Amino acid sequence: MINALPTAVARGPNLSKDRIKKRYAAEARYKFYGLAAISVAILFLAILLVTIVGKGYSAFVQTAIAIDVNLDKSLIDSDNKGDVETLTQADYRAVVRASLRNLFPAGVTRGQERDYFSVFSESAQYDVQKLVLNNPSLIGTTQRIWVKSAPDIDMLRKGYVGAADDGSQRLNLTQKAFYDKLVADGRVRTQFNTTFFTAADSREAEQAGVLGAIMGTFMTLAVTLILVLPIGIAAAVYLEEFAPKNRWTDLIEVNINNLAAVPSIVFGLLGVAVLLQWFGMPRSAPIAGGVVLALLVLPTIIIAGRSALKAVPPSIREAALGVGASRLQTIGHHVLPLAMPGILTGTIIGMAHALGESAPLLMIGMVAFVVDVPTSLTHASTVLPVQIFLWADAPERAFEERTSAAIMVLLVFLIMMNLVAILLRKKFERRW
Amino acid sequence: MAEINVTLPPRESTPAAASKIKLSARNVGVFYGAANALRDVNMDFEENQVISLIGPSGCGKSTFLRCINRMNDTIPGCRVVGSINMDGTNIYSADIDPVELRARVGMVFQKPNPFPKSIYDNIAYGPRIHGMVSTKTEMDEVVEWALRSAGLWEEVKDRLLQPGTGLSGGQQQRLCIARAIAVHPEVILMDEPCSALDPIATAKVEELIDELRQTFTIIIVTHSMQQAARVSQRTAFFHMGNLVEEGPTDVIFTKPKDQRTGAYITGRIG
Amino acid sequence: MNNFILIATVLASTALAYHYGRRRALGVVGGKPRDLHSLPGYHGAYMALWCLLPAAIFVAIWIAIEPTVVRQIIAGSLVQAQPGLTGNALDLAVNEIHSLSINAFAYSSASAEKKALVARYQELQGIGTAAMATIALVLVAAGLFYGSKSIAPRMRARQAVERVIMWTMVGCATIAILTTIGIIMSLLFEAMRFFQFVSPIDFLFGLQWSPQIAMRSDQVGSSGAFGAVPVFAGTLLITAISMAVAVPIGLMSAIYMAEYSSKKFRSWAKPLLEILAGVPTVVYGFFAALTVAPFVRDTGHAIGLNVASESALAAGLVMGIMIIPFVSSLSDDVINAVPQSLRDGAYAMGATKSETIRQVIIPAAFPGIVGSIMLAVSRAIGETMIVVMAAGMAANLTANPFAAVTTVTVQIVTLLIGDQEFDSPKTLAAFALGLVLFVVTLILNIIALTVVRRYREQYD
Ligand SMILES: Nc1ncnc2c1ncn2[C@@H]1O[C@H](COP(=O)(O)OP(=O)(O)OP(=O)(O)O)[C@@H](O)[C@H]1O
Ligand SMILES: [Mg+2]
Repeated sequence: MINALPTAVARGPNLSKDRIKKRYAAEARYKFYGLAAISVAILFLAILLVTIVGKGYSAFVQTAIAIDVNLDKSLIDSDNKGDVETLTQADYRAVVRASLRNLFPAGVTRGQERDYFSVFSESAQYDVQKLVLNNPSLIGTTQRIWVKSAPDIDMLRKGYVGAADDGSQRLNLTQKAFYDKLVADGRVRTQFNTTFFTAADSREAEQAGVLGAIMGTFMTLAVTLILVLPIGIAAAVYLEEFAPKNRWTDLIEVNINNLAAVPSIVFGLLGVAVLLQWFGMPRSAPIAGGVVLALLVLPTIIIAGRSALKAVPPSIREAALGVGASRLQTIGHHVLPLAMPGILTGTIIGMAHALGESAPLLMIGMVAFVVDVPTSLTHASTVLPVQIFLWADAPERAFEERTSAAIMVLLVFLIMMNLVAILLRKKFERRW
Repeated sequence: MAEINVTLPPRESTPAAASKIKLSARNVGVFYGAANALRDVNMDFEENQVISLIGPSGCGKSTFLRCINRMNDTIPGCRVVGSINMDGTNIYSADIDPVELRARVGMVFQKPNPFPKSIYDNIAYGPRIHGMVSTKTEMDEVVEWALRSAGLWEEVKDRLLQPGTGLSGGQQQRLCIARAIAVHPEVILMDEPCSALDPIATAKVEELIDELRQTFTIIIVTHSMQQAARVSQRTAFFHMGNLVEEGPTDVIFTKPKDQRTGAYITGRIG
Repeated sequence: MNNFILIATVLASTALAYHYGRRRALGVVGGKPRDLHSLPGYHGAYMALWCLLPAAIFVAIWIAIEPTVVRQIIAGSLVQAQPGLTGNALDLAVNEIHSLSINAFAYSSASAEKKALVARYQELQGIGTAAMATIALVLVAAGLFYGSKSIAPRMRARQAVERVIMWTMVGCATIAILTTIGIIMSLLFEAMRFFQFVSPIDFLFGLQWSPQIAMRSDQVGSSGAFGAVPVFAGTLLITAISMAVAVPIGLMSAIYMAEYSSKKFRSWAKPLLEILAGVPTVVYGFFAALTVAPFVRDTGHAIGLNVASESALAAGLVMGIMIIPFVSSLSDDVINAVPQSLRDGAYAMGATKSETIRQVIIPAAFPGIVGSIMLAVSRAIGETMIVVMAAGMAANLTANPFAAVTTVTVQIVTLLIGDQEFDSPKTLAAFALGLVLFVVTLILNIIALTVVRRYREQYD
C-alpha cells in the first residue's frame, strides 16, 4: 500500500524557486509587521514623553520684573505702631501700585493704568508684605525687589503667545511696548520658579504650585501603606502557608484575582457609598482616599506577596520545623525574612500604581480646590494626579505648561519608586 | 515531478540501485556554545535502508540526527562544523535553504507532538505549506494515504476532524509519522520514536518503519538493542561525542571491532 | 485629640503589659525559663493581647454604631418638633444638622432652632466619646487583671498567642472578600433605590440619556431621561477603537518578541513597552485632550471630514496605546507557554517561521490570547481618566468614530462629582451604571482568568 502513492504525494513538495521566494517574502513581511508594531508602540511612548517634557519644561522658570518699591510709612504704618498686626494688615496693594506707577511712561491716564498693572502679578503685594514683616526697619526706604510678572507676560517671554490689538491675543500692543521697555531697562529676568514647588493650588497660574498636591499625596499614600502592608502580608502568609485547600480558600483566591481586575472607578463608588455615607468619613480627605486606594491595591500586593513566599524553597521550612519551631515561628523567623524583598518590591509597585490613580479619588471628592498645603488627614486635600486633572481643565495657556510640569513631577516620583523596586530586586535576587 | 529549479539535486524519479549513497557526513562536529557535543563524525547513509544510531545517553545521537535536517539552526548558540552531503550537495553550504531541506528530510520526535488541530489538519499541514495539492479531493487522498501508510487509518477514519491531541500516545506518534511522510520526504529522521510507547504500539511502528524503507531512507535513534537489531540494516555506535564504529547491524551486534561497542551492547557501559 | 490620647494610653498599657507579662512569667518560675511551657515573650504577648484586643474590638464596634444612635436621637427630636417629617426628608434634615456641626460658616447663618439641635448633636457626640473612652479604659484594666492572673508555668501562652495571630491573618485574608461584598452590596443597594425612580427596563433599553433634566425641574425622576443605551454604545465604540489599535500592535509585538527578537533586543524593548502601562492614566488623558484630539480634528478637517473636537477616535486611540502593553505582555506569556516541541514539529516539516507562528503557535495559544484580549477589553471598558478628559459628555447614539460620544465611566464621574445629594435619581444613576460596569467586567474577568488558567494547565 505504501507504493500506491497518490499523485500529489508522488510529486513531492513543491520546492520551485518561485514558490520558495514567495514564502520567504511572506516571512519577511510578517517579521516586518512585528518590528513595525513594536516600533509604533515605542514611538507612541516617545511622542508622549517628548510632548509632555516639551510643553512642561518651561514651567520650571518664570519671568520676574524688578520694581523699586517705596515702603512709604504713611501707607504702611501711619500711626507708627510698629506691631505685627498693623504691619500684616497694611494696604500693600496701594504700596505696590504707587511704586509701579513710577515705571509707567509719562502721560498714562488712570483709565489706561489697568493695562499696565496687569503686566505684574497680584502676588507682588505679598512679596512686599513678607519683606516688611521680616525687616520692619526697611519702612521708609525704597527697595528694589523682583516680583513675578503676570502669566500672560510670562507666556509672551517664553514665546507661546504674541500681542495684538484686535482682541485675538490676551495682551495688547501697549502692554507689549511696556514690556519691551522694561526689558530694555534691564528690569526683566527669567528666574527659577520656586513658587511651583512651595505653593498649593491657586486660580492665578503664577501663584499655583504642586506642594499642596504633593503633601496630599504623601498623606494619602501613608494611610494606604499603613493599611496595606500588614494586611497584605498577613493575608499572603495565611493564603500561601496555612490555608487549607478547600472551597472557601478557592473562593478567596478567585476573588482576589478578580478584584485585581475590577475597574478602579468601582472602588470609588464603594468609597462613596460605604466610607462617606456609611462610616461618615470626611469628604475629600486623605484618610478616605487612603482607605480606598488601600482596598484597590490590596489584591496586587497579596498576589505579589504570595509569589514571593512561594519562591522560598520548602527545604527551609522543613529545616526550621525539624528543630522544633512552630509553624508560625518557622514563617516568622525564616520564611518571611527571605520573602521580604519580594514582598516589598511588590508593595512598591502597588504603591506606584496607587500614586498614579485618580478616578476613585475624584469620586470621593478629592477634586477640592485647596489653596493651603493640607496638614491633617481629615482636611480637604487633593493629590498630584487629580491636581493634574484639575489644571488640565483650566483654559489658560500658563496652566497647560504647569500641567505638563506637574506630570513631570509625578513621573519623577514614579520613576524613583520603580528604580527602588528594581534595585531591591537586583540586590536581593537569590538563586536557590 | 516538481520543477527542477532548486539548489539541491532533485529526487530521482525511479529508485536507484540499492547501494546509492544518499547522505554522507564528513568531519561533522557540533558545539553548544563552547561545549563540544560531537566530534569528527564521518559516515555514509545508503538509500532505502534503515540505519540506527545507538549509544549511551548524552553521547550526541540526537545532536547528530538534528544536524541532518539542520534543526540545530533553531537552537541559539549551536554551531555545526564539517559537511553533510545529500545527493552530492553540501546541505550546510550558504545557498541551501533549511526550509527546503526540511521538506526533503522529515523528522519524528521522541515525544509525540501533534499540533493542537484536527487529525486531518495535522496531516494536511505539510502538503498545504508546500503547495502539493490544489483541490480538496487531492488533499483527502493524501491524508488517507498518509494515515493508511502509518497504519492509523482504520483507527481514526471516523474522527478525522477531532483534535490530534486527543489520541493515545502510540496513535499520536503514528500520527506524527503520518504527518512526516505526507510531504513525501526522501529521508526520515526518527529520534527514539518508540520510547513513549507500549510494546504493541512499538511493534506497529517498527512494522511501519520496515515498510516505509521501500520509499524512504530512515535514520533512527534508539536505546533498544533489540529494536536496532529488528529494524535496521546498518548500525552506528556513538560514545561521548564520537562515532566509535559503524557497519551492518548483524556485524555490529555479533562481532564489534571496538571493545566499547561490545561493552555497551552487552550492557556494561551506558 | 481625645481620641489620640485614648489610643496612646491603650498602646502604652499594651507595651507595659508585654513587659510585665514577661517579667511575671519569669517570676513564677524563679527566673528559670526552661520550666515555662512557652517562652517568656509569649507570656508578655499574651498579656498584651488581653490588654489590647477587648478594648480595640469594643472601640471598633462603638465607632460603627455611635453615629447611627446619635442620628436616631436627633431624628427623634426633629420629629417632635415637626411631626410630619418622615423618610427621605427626615434623613435630609439629619444630614443638614450633621453638616452644620462640621461647617462653621454654614452654622453661623443657621436658625436658632437648628443651632440648638446642632448643640444637642455635638453634646451627644461628646457624651458618646467620653463613654467610649471610659469603657475602653475599664476593658484595658480588666484585660490586664485577667491576663496577669492566668500566667502560670504550664500555661500554653504560645498556642494562645498563635491562635490570635492565625485568626488575625484569616481576618486579613477575608478583607478581600469583604471588599467584594461591599462593592456588590453598595452598588446593588443604591441601584435598587435608583430603580424605584426609573424602571430597569427603561434604564437598560432606553435610547435617551439626559440626566440633567431631572435636576433642573426638581422633580425626582419623572422628567429626567435615563435610557442608558447611548452610554453603553459610546463605551462599546471607544472600546472597539482602542482594541483595534491595541490588539494588532500588542499581539504582533508579543509575537516578534517571543519568536523573532534576540535576547538583547527583548531585554530593552519589553521594559520600554511596560513603561506604557506604568504611565498614569491621567497623563494619557491630558495627552489625548491636548495633543491627539486637536490633531485628529485638524487632520479630519484637512481631508474634509467633520470631526468633533472630542471625537471617540482620539479617546479610543490613546486608550489603545495604553492597552498595548497589557495585550503584549499577557500574549507574550501565553506564546512562551507553547511547548518548543510544537515549533520543532513544524520546523521539521519545512515550515518557515511565520508559517509556524500563524498555523501552529497562534492556534495553540489561541485560548490564552483570547483570554488576554478579554482582560484588555475589561480594562478598556473600566478606564476612566482618558475618557473623562478626552471624550465628551454628549450621549450620542452613533457608530461614527468622528463624533463625540460618552461612556459609562464618564457618566459615573460627572453624575457624582461635587454632588452630595444621595436621593436624586441623578446621583443614584451613577450607581446603576457602576453596577452594570462591575457585572460586565466581572464576567469578562472571570471567563478570561479561567480560560487563561486552563490554558496554562494544559501545557504544564
Ligand atoms: N540545546 C543544548 N544546549 C546545550 N547543550 C546541549 C543541548 N542539547 C544537547 N546538549 C548537550 O550535548 C550533548 C549531547 O546531547 P544529545 O541530546 O545529542 O544526547 P543523546 O545522545 O541524544 O542522549 P539521549 O539518549 O539521552 O537522548 C549532551 O552532553 C547534552 O548535554
Ligand atoms: Mg536524544
